Amino acid sequence: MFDVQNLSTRIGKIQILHALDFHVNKGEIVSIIGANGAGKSTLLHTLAGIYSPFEGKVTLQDDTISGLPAYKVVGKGLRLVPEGRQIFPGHTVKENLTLGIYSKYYKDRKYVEENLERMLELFPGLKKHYQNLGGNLSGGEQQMLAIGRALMSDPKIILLDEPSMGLAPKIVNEILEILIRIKEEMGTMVVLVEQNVKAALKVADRAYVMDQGRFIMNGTNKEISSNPEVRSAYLGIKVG
Amino acid sequence: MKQMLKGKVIALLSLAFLLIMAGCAEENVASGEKGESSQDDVIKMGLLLAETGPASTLGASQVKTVKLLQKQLDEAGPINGKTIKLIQYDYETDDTKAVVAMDKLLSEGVVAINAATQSSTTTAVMPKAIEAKIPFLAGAPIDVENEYVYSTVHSPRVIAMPIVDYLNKQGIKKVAWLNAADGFGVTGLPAFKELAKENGIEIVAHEEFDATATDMTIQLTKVRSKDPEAIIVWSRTPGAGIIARNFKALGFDIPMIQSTAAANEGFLEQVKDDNENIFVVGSKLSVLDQLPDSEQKELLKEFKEAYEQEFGEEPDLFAAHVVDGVYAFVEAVKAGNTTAEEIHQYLANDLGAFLGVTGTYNFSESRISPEPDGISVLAIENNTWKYIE
Amino acid sequence: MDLFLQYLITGLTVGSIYALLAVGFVTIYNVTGVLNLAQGEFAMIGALSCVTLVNLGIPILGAIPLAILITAIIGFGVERLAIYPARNATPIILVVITLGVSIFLKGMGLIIWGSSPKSLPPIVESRSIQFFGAVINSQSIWIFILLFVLLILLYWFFDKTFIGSALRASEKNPHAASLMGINTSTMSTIAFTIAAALGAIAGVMIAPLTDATYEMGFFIGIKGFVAMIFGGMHSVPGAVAGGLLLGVIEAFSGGYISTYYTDALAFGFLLLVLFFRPQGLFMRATGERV
Repeated sequence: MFDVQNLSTRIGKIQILHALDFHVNKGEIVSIIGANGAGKSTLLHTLAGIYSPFEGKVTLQDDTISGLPAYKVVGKGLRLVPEGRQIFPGHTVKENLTLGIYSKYYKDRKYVEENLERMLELFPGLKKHYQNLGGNLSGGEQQMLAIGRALMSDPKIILLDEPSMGLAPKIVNEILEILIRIKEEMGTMVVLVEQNVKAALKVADRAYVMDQGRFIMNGTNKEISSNPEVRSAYLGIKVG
Repeated sequence: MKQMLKGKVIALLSLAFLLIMAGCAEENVASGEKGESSQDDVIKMGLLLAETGPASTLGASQVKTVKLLQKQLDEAGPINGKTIKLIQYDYETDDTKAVVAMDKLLSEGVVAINAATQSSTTTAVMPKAIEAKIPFLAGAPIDVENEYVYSTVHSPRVIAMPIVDYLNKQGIKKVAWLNAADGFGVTGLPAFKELAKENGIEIVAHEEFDATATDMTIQLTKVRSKDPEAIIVWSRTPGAGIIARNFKALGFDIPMIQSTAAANEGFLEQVKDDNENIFVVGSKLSVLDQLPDSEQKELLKEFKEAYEQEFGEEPDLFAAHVVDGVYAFVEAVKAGNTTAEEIHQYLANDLGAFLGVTGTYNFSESRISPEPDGISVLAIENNTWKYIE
Repeated sequence: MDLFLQYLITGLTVGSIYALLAVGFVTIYNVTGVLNLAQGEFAMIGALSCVTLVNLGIPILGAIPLAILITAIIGFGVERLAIYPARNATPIILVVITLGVSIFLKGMGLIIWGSSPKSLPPIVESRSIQFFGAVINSQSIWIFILLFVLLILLYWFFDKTFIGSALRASEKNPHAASLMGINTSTMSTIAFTIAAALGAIAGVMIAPLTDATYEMGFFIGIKGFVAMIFGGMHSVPGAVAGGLLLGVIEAFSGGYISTYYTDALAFGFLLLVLFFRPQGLFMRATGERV
């Protein structure tokens, strides 16, 4: 279980996140949707340890991870797939994936090989680029790589920051399917942050709506999808 | 957190290591007593020397000399009821600090100044002495003439004289000149040119190099193509030593003659075991036992033995400059002069010729340089200096 | 053509010294983005520590690794005390800090070892070798060999090992690297320690040729830095080529034009490179830009 209580973050003098509460249960995909500038990225960065909250607590299965620096959060089992993918362009696909297991590498070479195999099976499109430089891949392939890289360390929870950005709808669907596979086959908890609300609501079990650093609404997929305010504000469906 | 702490501890330990090493290096003992008997009974001479900093290899012996001289003066007792106090400040090889120290000396009422270890420093502090009309005994080669300035050091022209003598003796008419492109290195050629012309010696090539460069093969190769009969080098170490080694490696069979800047242990170290054909203009102090008997030899011996007894090592040319400066001052005091002006007049007019450790002086005739009789072109044998006739 | 060969050989000899320094520069820059102006001083400390150890009676083959170790520890100390606390500062400030470190180390070098040159014996007895009318010192040949070995070692380290991969990632994108679980501050420390060791190796190899003094770092440091710029800042092979090129330019301009203007000509060439090929003369297809 992943639990966030009363989380507040300041950047400089400006408070971005205001006393956020949310949780993710085992085997769930939770979506966080909201307009640009709502604070979604800041939230993920705080959870990942890039920013430090000045208030609040984050627990991952009995471990308190709030206040830890990013590289330590990884070791606790939380991985962030950042906005814009941020794969290493000068490293090959294989090197990128291998770096993903940095926190556990020296323990077991065989374990690394096994996980590499698993990622190639999950993302067959990467097979032909295995020794190719990350910078040479297409946007969609880079996104696959970024997700695979995050999964290499067998995280308990994976956070994704706008994975659909700049990608064609077909690729976006592929990614969504993979998220479902991750949830079902690997049992990993997923937090999906998206501006593309339609995509987000396709796979979410539950969703939170964020506005100006606060959660203004939350509920099951069905509840959120059928909510008239959500439908007009985010799905562009006129009501009435 | 523990990881970070460990890192910091190791970091602090390595810093401590460096500091401990530094502490084990020679201690900086500040000399110079202040404020005792009234002005009337004490006559003060101020000295500015590089006790610390890069020039300390030159200044260290000078500082020791001051201690020795003060001891000798104290033992001899007051002269005409006056005690002589040598006040020495360490200017740390920093010209700015030297100027500050100079002000301090002037404010303490010194009636003569002997400074400094380096040329640049000497030039920097000299104007203050001139302004205060205090006789200034210059301890390093400078290019200024002034009635208050008395040089205890050989000028580049005078250093070049033994070289020209040597060239004449060997019948050498064509030389190549190589110098370091720094303050000291460029002073040699203009002086030598004059003498060369007078003696019919042709300078067939001239190259320059950086005193801290790693290799001078290019310069040597270039001059070789001009067929010189000797090579003259004007540079401090380490450049002096490196060019000497390159010289040997290239298989030259002509002589190489270096300036007084190479007349030290550091240079001998650099050319160890491979120094045939390398000559250096150095002080006769270094080859004392090899000299024929003379009044000069006796004088040098006296100084050398006193210095060795006190400090367990040999004095060098830089020490000699200090000795001569103080000697001239003491002579002036002995003749009954107590004010700066009186001392100045005495030095300029009445002192006349005297034999110093650096060479023969006569301030009435020349204040720019002592004569070359204190230095000579020396060869190197068994990794030590050899006097050649 | 006698002259030409001598100039060429001397140029390559001197250039290989510059290349040794440049390699250390590139290593730190590649991992931390910091231009370490104290790199020359690492060479100085390595050389002088070795002299001290040899004078204490330790045989040269033992003194060299020890001197490298001592310098590496000092490099570690420099990173922890001077760089880490300022890690969020702009690159300019970090460069200025390394300048301060350089001055400090140079001053310490002077206090500990004094100002007269100290000789360091080479591992293998050095002799002058005649080569078609030109002269080369056997120690210079060893330096060439060492350069080649270092090239291979560093290539293997950065390209083929995991820690090398992590070091590269840390420089490329520290943000993403920390999301992999990489402690970027540890990476910076490792880079400085390695670069200090590389500097010490350079110093220990150069000193038998030039003697060790407290001020030896400045001259070779500047040249190594220029070599790195010639070679494209990120590339180890480029730095080596840049060093050799710089040495050869100096030798030929000194030999055929004038030794008074060697520095001016070398810097003129540097300006040309900065204007027309700022990414370096030897571009490598790694998908990376300077």
